[in-house]
Order: sequence, then C-alpha cells, then structure tokens
Amino acid sequence: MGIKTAEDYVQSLREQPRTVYYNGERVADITTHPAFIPHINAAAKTYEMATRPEFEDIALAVSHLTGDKINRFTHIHQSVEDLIKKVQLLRAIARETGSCFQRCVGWDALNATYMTTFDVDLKHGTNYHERFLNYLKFVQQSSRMIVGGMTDPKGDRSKAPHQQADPDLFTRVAERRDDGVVIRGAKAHQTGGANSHEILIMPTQMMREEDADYAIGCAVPLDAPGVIQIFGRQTNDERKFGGPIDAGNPQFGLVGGETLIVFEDVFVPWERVFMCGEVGFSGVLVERFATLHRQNYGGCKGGVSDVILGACALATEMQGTAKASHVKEKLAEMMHLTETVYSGSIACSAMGFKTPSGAYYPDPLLANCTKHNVTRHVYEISRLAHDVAGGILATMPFEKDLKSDEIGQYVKKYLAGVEGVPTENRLRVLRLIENMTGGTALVESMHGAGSPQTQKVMYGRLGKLDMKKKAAAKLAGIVE
Amino acid sequence: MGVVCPMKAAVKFCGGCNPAYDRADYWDRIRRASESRIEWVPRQGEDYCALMVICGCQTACPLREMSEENSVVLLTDDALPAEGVVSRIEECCG
Repeated sequence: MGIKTAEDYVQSLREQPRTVYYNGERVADITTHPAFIPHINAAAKTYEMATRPEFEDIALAVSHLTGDKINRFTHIHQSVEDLIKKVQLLRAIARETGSCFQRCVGWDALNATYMTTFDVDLKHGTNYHERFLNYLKFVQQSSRMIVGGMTDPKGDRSKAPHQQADPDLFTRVAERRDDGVVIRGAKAHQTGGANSHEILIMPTQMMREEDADYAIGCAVPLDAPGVIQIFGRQTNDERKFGGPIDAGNPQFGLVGGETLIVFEDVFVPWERVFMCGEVGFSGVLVERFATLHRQNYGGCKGGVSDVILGACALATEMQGTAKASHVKEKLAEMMHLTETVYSGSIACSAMGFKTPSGAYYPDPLLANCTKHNVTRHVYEISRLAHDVAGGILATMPFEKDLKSDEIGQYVKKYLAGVEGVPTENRLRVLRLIENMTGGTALVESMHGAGSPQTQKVMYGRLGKLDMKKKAAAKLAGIVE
Repeated sequence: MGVVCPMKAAVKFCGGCNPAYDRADYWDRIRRASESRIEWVPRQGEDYCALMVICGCQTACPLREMSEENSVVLLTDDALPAEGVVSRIEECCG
C-alpha cells in the first residue's frame, strides 16, 4: 500500500528513522522537531493535493508502466501535455505553501535517469534501464519521496575529482563487490533530504576516463547504514521555535530545508545501481537533470510570487497606500515578472520533445532561459515587495511585544494602519513578506538548479549563434 | 529519356521558426546526393516509401500533426552527412 495522504506520509517518516543532525545534535524524530515540521508540511502538500478533486487533473497521472493512477511526482512524462501539467502543478502547490515543497528534484532525477539508462544500455549493452524500471515501479507503487542527489561538494573547483586532495569530495565508488558497490562522499544542498525516503544519486558533472569511479548513479534509502544528514541553517531559523507571527510562514517555512548528505561507506546492491563508470553519459545525465529542473522554476516561483503579490496587495490596503498610482504600478510590474517566469516554463514544456526512451523532455535552451530569468526576476519582485511594504519590514518588534501585557498596547496603537484593521493582521502579512523575500529565499532563486553561469554556458552550446550571424549577414548584404 | 530511380520519397519541413542549421541548404545537399537513387515526389497524390522530415530543432513540430508512420526519416540537425541520410532513406524503403 503506497503513501496516499499527508498523514500517511508523516507516518512513513516515523517508520523510517534516519540519522539527521540539527545544530550539533542528533534529531530523534524529525516529525516532531520544530525545525523540520514546516518542510514536512510543505512536502505533505504534494500528497494531500493529489487527494483533492480540484487538483487531481494535474496532481495525478497514469503510469505508463502499470496503467495505475499514481502521484504525478513519480510519473515519467509521456507527452508535451505532461510537461505542461508538471509546471501547472508546481505553481498550484507553491501558491498553497508559499515555499518549496521539495519533491520536484526527485521527480526530475527519476526522469533524467530513465532517459539516460535507456541510452547507456543501447551503447554499452548494459541492463541499467531494466533495473531502473523495477525501481521506478517500486517508487510509483509506494509513492516514496525521492531527493535528487546531484551536487557534490567539489572541493577545489579548479581540479578534477581524482586530483582532489581528499578523494571523497566527489561521491565515488570506493569498492566494487560481487553483490554491489560501496560508495563514499557527500551530496550538498539536498532539498528535502531530511524528510525524503530515498536519494537518487547522479554524477555531479561530466566525468573523464580517469574519473570513472565518480560516474555513479544509484538509489539509496535514507535510513541505510552510513547515511548521515546535516541540516543547513536558514535566515531567521530560530523563529521556528517561537510564535507563529515572527516565523512569517509558520506552517510551511521557507525554501526546502537543505541537508548535507554524507555517505560513509554505504553499500548499494547492483539492482539499485544505474550507472557505474560510463563516463560518456555522465554529462548527458547532468544536462538532462539540469534542464528538467530548470523547467520548473517559473512554475514554483510563479506560485511563490503569487503569494508575495497577494501579501503586498494586502499590506498596502492595510496601510492605506493601495490606491497610490506608484503602488499600483509596482504591483503591475510584479505581475508582469511573475507571468514572465511562468511563461518560460510553459514555453519550454510546449516545445518539449520525445527522447529515444519515449520520455518527453523540455526544450533545453528555453528551460535554461527560464531559470536564468528567475535569478533576476525573483530578486526584482522581492525588491518591489520591500518598496511597497515599507521600512516597517525591517523594524517591526517581536511577536512577544505585541502580546505583552505591558507594552502590547503601544505596539497595537503605533503600528496600526487603516482604521478597523487589527495591527496583528498587518504584522502577520508583513512578516510573511519578510520571510519570502529575503536571505535564504533569494539565494535559492539564484543558485537552485544551477547558478546563472551554468545557464550561460548552455547558451553558448544551444543559442544558434551561427544562424543568427547568417541572418544578419543576409540582411546586411554581405556576400561570402 | 530521364533516369528511373529505384525508390520514391517525399520531403516535409518544419516551420523553421528558430532553426539550428540551414534546412534548405541541407535539403540541397541531400537532393544532390540522392540523384539517380531517389525520386522526390509530392506528399499528396503520390505513393512513396519514405517521408523525410527536416526539422530545425529537436522539438520536431511536424510530428505532432502526423500519425505514427514507420517510414519517417526524421532529421533534427545536419550532423549526418547527406550521403548518410540517403542511406537511411534507402534502408527505410527496404
């Protein structure tokens, strides 16, 4: 019986205790720890929304392997329509959570691995794809949450994996055995790692022959012996331990909750190994995962930006500035930017195509442009949010001051806005804006799914500059 | 008297909105390489054993409007030399 509801999901995490550290201490149960609860709630939305009829058209899919109805986050895209529904689903969930719900990264890892194992087998006569299909059936039937493990720590970026002073700075095969491999290393910035069930590991970059041990793709349950997770700090993370107002988005937190996942000699049986030394396909797998992940950002950031926009509109109403022409103009600009990033995600999906495996894949150039726009537009949306919300965003007192018997009256009196609007409501919406537009939330827009430079590298390869030069030369009357 | 080609094929292009290569130039090279081996006929009103679809990118828009056909030779870049394309068409025609 697979995980269906949000409650099933939380229960499944309790039944799979894992080694997770927060602030120097091992966490006994992440489902009851305030630092993890918001992220678990956000991921739980991916299950809960799939049970609601108003979302089932985008949140469910039919497995091409079994014909069963499955949670779309475990689906292999079978058409352009599937690619579009992916983006629509991400926007719909982000609008409910206002934060990252983490599950797209594993979905993209499933699709990228599916396509690539097919190609590897064609060239090398291996049986990775068959192994992967068995694993995929297990994931679809159980509806387990996968974290897509790509980013290695990388150490000295000027050196190849085998040249590093410490060979574990890239995840590698430390030992090959008759029954499987033993891996060692780490994956960094693992969104949703703490509250996923499995990690689907991929190489972090194109590998060369001398780095064959680093061309490893495999699936590992996160409770496997030797898997250790260390949770990353976030802006204002201690507010999770306080009251709901100061937290800003107490139910769903901000970003996805990232961990450093360490593999201390972790055994992986062969049936869970999907690449092992085929260096020629390491770059292909990386590029596919990156494209599939960059496709997403106009969807999820579109939904998050919907909430920022709504919060800003509410704040200006509460403060009496909503009718000012410059405020209207700024909100309109925020809408334009929001729909621009969403358009990019829809466009790269609409121009997607079928790969030899049968799985569909978004247009890589447009997907990269989409993510690149997010690195700019979400910052601009946030800048405009700070503008219309006002300096109060940075100077509001504590929630405890508002609720204090001694000074609460002054907070209510002097931070009041339009008559009839409770001061607490104004502070709540301003804290939500603060939560969503600063610090960690912004950095995620910059570097999640790859830093801007990685997108620019793709323009050089995919930008068709020769054809543009040819078009210009023709118009200019240049005869070669 | 003209040369009698052993097989007939048709060609279809995508719309060419943002192609990665010069499709018309590629088509010229293929046509020259296929002289005396393939007779190019219109898609409508003629029988042919292979349909060559020349697309400017991997999106391959024309495929969305075509029913599944086994005899399609799809080209989404010009990496394959013209002679290689002709061979693929000949293989397709059996």
